[in-house]
Amino acid sequence: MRNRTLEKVDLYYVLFYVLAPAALAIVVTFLIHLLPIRNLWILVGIGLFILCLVFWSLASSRIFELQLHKFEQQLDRQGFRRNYTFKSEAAALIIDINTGKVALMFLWSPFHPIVINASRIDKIWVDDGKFGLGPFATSKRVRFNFQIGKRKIRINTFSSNRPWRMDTDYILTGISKADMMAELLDRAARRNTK
Amino acid sequence: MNIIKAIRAPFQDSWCKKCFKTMDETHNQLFAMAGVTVAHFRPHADPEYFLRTLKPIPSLSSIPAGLYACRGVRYHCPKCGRTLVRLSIFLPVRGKEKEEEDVYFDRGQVDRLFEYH
Ligand SMILES: [Zn+2]
Repeated sequence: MRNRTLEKVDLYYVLFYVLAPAALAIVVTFLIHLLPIRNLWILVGIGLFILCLVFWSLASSRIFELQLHKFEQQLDRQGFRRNYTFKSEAAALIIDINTGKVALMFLWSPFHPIVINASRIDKIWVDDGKFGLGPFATSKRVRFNFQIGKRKIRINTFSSNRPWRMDTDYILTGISKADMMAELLDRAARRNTK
Repeated sequence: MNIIKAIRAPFQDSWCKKCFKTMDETHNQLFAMAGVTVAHFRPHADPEYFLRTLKPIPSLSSIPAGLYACRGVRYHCPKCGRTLVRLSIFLPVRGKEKEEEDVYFDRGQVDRLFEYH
């Protein structure tokens, strides 16, 4: 577990995730191509390509879930009290209020989870994504953000590909989650004095 | 927002169904729902659950963000003595309220919630 870096994307992991299944599919297709069965390699190639698409679209969240589960067990062994856990599609954040520690894992860096002292956080704020005025205001996403040094971490509590009015249940729930997480981070930060 | 419900509500709840008389509002109290945070609301009908979970609060500003609240109103019929408690559960969000559900008790099951107010 690394404490100094706050990398949201592990480049090696992403490259491996994209290239490994593609390379495997190409090699297998090529080997089939060497067999004396006509056109079999085309069928195999198409089949493996579809398998690659399935892998790319589904595997990342599954790997993230598995790694997060491992990480949680590891935190428990270290005496980290998991008071609050927030999971978005792209990250998970776990807070131990009493010790003021914050554990983080990102979707694209699931093998390098991070534990930081909340006192290192310089700024915490909520972005409701509001666009427009008065009753016509809408939002497509709500998130809470925090900044450590120059690094900004943004975690969505709601996101959609269409805009929703600010008084809809989706947006209210998103704002409530973001406000709650911001308050908890703030509490943890004040608990763990510099 | 359900408009029909909004129009009917004030008549319905404070109206004694036996005597067709307006009941008196004896208590009106805000509660925090201990441990029930955003995205963790589940409907309940068990009075014990509410006796355990509801903690009286002076105002909504005294509870942290993301915690569910409940507005409890108790009615009493001056003619037949019937009582009714309505618990309206909602999530307070920056001055707005995301309504969840109203739960009713008409046999005094949750009257203990109001005893000290
Ligand atoms: Zn009556």
